[in-house]
Amino acid sequence: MPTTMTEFRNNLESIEARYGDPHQNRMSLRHRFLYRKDCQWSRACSIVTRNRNREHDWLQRRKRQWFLRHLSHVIDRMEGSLTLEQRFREQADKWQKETQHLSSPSQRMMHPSYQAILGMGNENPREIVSLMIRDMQEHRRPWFWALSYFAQDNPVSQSEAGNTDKMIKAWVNWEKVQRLP
Amino acid sequence: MAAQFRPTFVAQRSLLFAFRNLRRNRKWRLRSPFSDSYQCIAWAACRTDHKWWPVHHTEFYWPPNLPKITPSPYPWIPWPPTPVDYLVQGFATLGYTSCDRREFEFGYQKVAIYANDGGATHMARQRFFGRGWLSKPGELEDIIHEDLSDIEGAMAATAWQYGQVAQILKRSWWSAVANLCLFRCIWHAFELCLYDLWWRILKVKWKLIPWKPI
Repeated sequence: MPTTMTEFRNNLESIEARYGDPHQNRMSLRHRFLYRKDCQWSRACSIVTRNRNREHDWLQRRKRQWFLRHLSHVIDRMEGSLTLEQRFREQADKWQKETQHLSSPSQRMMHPSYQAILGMGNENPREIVSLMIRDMQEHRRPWFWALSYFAQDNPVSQSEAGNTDKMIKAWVNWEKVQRLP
Repeated sequence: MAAQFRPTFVAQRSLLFAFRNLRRNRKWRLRSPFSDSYQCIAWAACRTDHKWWPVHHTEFYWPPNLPKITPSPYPWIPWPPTPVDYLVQGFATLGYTSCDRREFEFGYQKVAIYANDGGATHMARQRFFGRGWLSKPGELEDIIHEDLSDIEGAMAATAWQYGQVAQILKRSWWSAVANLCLFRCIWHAFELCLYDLWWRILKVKWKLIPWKPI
C-alpha cells in the first residue's frame, strides 16, 4: 500500500501507463454502434460456420456408417458367411415385395429372385425343400411349383387344387411323412 | 382364409408402387384386406376360395375339361404365354360371351381381360350398375377403380405390369342368377361392406396409436 502522496501518484501513473485511461479512451457513439454491429456480424458468421461444421461432421459420420455397413455386407458375401437360409430369406422377401401385385404365375416365376432361389435349390435341394415348406407355414409364399420339382412329388390332390390352406397343409404333412431335416 | 388388415397407408403405398396410373387418378379405394387365398381371375368369377389359372398343375384351379397351358417340367424355363382365349373359354362356362364395348350396359355384367407380351395377366369385374371396376391385384387388397386404364401398364412381360385390356366379356344378369354368381356377388358385396366398416374402425384406432416402424 502507498504510504505517501508521491508514492500514490507514481503508482497511479504506472497503472495508467500499463492499462491506459479508461475515461479518455471511451468510444464515440458512432464507433460504439459500428463495433456492436461488427460483433453481431462476427457472431452470425461463427454460427453459420459452426452449423456448417456440424452438417459436415454429420454427413461424414453417415458416409462412414453407410460405407461400413455395405462393406461388411460385401465382405460377408465374399467370405460366403451368409447361410443358405439367410440368402433364401433375402431373395424371397425381394421376390414377394416386387411381384405380390402380379396374378400371372408365369410372370412371377420369371423374376430374377425366384430364379436365384431355384439356383440355390439346384445346389442343395433337400435343404431348400424344408426351407420352402417352413416359409410357406410362416409367410404363406406360393412355392408349390418349385417344390413339386425339387421334391419330385406332388401331395396336393386335384380336389385341393388352388386352395392355399389345404395345399400348405398337404405339403406340411408330406414333410412329416418324409421326415426331412 | 388368411386375411390381414394392414394399415391403410401401407396398403395404398404398395398399390401405388405397383400401378403408376393410380397416382394420377385419385378415384380409387381399398375394398378388402390383404389375402392370398384368391387372385384376380377367381375374383372376376366371384370366387374367394381358390386361385384360378388355366395350367396343368394343382397350384391352380381351372374348370375341368377345358384347355390349359402345359408348363415345362423344369421350373427355370418360363411358362408358355397364357392365351387370352383360354380365359375366354373358361369364363364361357359361367355364361360370358365376347363383347366390344367396355361401357356399362343395363342388364349385363362385364369382365375385362388384360394381357401383355407374356400372355394374359389380369382380370377385372364391373360393379353393379357400372360404378367402377373391381380388381384383385395378386395378393394385395381388392380395389375399386374408376376406369380400366387405371391399372394398365407396359406391354413387356418383365416390366412386372399388366399390359393393356385385350378382351371384354359380358353376360346377362339372368345368366349370373342361373350360375349362382349373382348370389355370390351380393354376398361378397355384403362382406366388403363389413370390411369397409372394419377399415373405418381401424383407421380411428391407428390414429389413436401411431404406427412406428420396427
